[in-house]
Amino acid sequence: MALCNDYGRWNRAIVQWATRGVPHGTPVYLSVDEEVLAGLGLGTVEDFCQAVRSQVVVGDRVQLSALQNHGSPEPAGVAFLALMVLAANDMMRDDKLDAKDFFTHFRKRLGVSGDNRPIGMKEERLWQEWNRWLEERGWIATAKPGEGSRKYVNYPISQALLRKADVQRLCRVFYERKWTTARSETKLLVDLASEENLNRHLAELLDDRQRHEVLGAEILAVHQEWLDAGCPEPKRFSRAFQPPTRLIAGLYRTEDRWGNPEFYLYPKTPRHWAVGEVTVENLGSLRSERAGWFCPVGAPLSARDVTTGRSWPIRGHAYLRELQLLAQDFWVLVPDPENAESGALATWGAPQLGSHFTLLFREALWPDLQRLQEESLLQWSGERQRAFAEESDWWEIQECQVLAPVWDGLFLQHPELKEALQPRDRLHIALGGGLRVPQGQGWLEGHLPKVTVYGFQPTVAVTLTEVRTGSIYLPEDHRSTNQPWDLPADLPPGTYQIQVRGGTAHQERFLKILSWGDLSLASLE
Amino acid sequence: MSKKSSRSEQTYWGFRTHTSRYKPQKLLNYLQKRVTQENLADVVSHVRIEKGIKERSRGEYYFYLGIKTNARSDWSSTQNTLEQLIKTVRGISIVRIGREGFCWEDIRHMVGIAYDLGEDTQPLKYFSVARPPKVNPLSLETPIAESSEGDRSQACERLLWWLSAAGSGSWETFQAVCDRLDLPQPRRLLRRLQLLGHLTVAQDGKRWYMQPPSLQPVGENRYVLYGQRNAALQKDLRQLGRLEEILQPRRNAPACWQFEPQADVATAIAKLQVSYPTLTICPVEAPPQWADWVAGLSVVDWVPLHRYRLKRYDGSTFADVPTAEETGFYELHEEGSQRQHALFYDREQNTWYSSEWYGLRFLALTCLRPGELVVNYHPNSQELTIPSSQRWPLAYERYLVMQSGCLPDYNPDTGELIYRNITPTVWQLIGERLPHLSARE
Repeated sequence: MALCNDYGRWNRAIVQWATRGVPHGTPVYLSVDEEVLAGLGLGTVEDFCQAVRSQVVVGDRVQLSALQNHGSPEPAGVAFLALMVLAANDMMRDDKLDAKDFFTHFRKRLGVSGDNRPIGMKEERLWQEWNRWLEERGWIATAKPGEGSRKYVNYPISQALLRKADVQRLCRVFYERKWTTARSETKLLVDLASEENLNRHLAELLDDRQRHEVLGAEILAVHQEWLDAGCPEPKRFSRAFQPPTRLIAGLYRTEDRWGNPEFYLYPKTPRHWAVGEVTVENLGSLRSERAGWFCPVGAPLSARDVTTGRSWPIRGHAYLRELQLLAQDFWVLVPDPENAESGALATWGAPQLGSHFTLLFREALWPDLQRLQEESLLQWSGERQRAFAEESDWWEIQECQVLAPVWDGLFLQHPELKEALQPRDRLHIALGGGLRVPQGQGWLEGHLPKVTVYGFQPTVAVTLTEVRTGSIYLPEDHRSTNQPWDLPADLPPGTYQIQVRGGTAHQERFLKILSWGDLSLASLE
Repeated sequence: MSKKSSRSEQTYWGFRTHTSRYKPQKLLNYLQKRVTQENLADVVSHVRIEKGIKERSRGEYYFYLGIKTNARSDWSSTQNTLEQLIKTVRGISIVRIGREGFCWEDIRHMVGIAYDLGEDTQPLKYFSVARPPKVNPLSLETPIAESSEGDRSQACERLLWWLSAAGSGSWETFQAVCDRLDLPQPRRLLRRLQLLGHLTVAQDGKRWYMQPPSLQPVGENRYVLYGQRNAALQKDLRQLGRLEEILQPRRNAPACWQFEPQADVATAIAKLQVSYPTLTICPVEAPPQWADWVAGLSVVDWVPLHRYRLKRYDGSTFADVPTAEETGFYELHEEGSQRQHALFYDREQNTWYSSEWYGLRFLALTCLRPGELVVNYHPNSQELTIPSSQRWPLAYERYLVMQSGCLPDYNPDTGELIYRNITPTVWQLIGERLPHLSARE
């Protein structure tokens, strides 16, 4: 059965909205609300609900079979799932979480009377398909089932990030605390964590460290919008789904011919928005490098640039006005997640458990770092080194590794450091070595990676399953943590799921194996 | 600073809680929030909670705040703030124990270094990562790998397919992929791929860029494919004509793909362009005039000579020299590092120049032995030979190699490199562009 035109358009637009500008290796949330839907330019929220209704409602039943394994470039069920998330947002307006209440709101959006789970709801497969589609493309899927009666309801609830009430509350904090200058995601998260007057949903989001990467980006976007609106009182601020006016830059580190570090501006692409051609004064046109990032630009940054932060005007763009490097006291530089051997380090994300990273920091943070080392929470290689040839208070420590999970009892003078380095997961499946297919889309047959499960327990149970056929290659195999091990050497090309369980922690990761004949030619600019 | 001495600078305030509901994690979260709010992180360094409390059913437990009493000058007001902070914990009764405070030795047996609230854990061990050596991609490995090391044609072909899929990348990536494919001497291999026209390299050697798939005419209805390639293109070429894969003389580079289209080449290209829009006939660019090549060398603004031991090329080997006083080709060696540099110093201009190794050596030879650079051309066999000790700069050597799509043969008896399919036109052009050569026909 074909998709209705309207439904197909909404579906495609929502998939693009959810994934555009999201770096690979980071989580994707289907966090749509009324403002997002209205901002997609396809019609009103009611038009969206009508499109979903026309596609899936037959009488008082829901018919989802046409949305499964549709064969389209993107999963066909996403618009339907987005309507579930919309209902989850409706339900959580009053901080209530009740499965029955969810279906009341869901049926209302769907235009079907009643308050229970509609007949024909077999939506779990759609969530699984969406999760798999994301993982196969290098993102981290986030939709999860709940326990008991909340099994299905938890999928949409797990996707809701900032709701209207949360945005209002955030603006109140920004206004009352006078946060009227640009701040980093880390600073926003840390300062909000010590706020007393947050609503329950926002407080819960902040308590969930696994969501911090995405939550930080969303809060930063709200803060930017509030700054762009002239820092108004909360009641005068309404989020109108406006595109951002600033591009934020990270740092990209390489070394010059003599082995001295060089730091370049590394602009991020905005989440959710298409930017097209961007020309920055004195830096030229920005070229897209990968999901979430432009190529590094400009000459190496000076210590002064990094200390004080700096802005560069953007000319002739529909909505972007400046590229900004925020002043921060430290930067976490991790190896390229898509090509760890490239030698480059950049602000690609939070360090993963067991991975090594370089920390660029100002002198004032040195006591905190020494304390982390004394407490056996963090270790690094060698002595700290000066980061710039010119006189400055910037230093580097290299090959840093987080050693333990228990940071809660430690108070640092720079809590942002703790926010940035404290492990977010208790398990991490690392795939190292072997020969990756360029652009991070898997490994080549005959050159498989070694698997290391990093964790704080001695052993974990590992299952390896081929996704399409369901063939199990490793059934609940017990493996030591923190030790690399080989995959079965004869794994044929295909997509595999590695599932790891240790205590109450659980992680999974997809592994794609391609044959040499699958390699395509890169498009050259 | 040792672990013991740092701890001896602080005291611990001990507390006992009375509750069955206030879990330690909640207490930690609360303390974290309040210490940040009150800006006391310089005074309260950390909290340690009694070991093993999760196994016990009773809700009473001890905890200790690590306090730095010398952190503030106004200790008494800080002390009051701290005591107030503890009193304001709602829903829990907390009693201070041992008003004098505790030292680390007093409590170390009853608290964990790393208190874990969830489950039994073990910290990760710090481990070193084996990184490939940092080397200068413009220098070369010595000595050249012997041909007896086996046939590496297939591994080189795979390397080329991988590079074609990547499009461009860093030197370190190239080095790593060679390592995974068991291909030795990546810097020499990188140069060979440049000679064969498959890729170009940035002047500083840090990045490589694949060329689009292109055809170089090498004879009547015969073309050499250079640039990107993969299995699909191989199949398509076979469908449109005869594809001969000619192995390189030392089997240390991808084979030459020589294509003879069945019909006229324009038809074949039009069909290929459906899948490979950038594929065209693109004869290799002629090398520059020698003066332009010299002018195009990249200037190195600053050389930290104090870090390096210098060696100067004397026409046959590199000999130690204390300083760079004369114009010439220098190698810079750093103690304990594999990152050695090869630069050319022009004393008159007091300027250092960078380029690929053979190019700089040739430049040095034009200064040291201006009349002794030899080249032989055999019009009948269309072969050109030069001594391998006078190997030409990349741009000139590539022009020779691309006439056949094959790397030169090496004659160990004469020490000469032999380039094939060199037409009189090419020979004439070379003579115009490289004026230093003592040419013999």
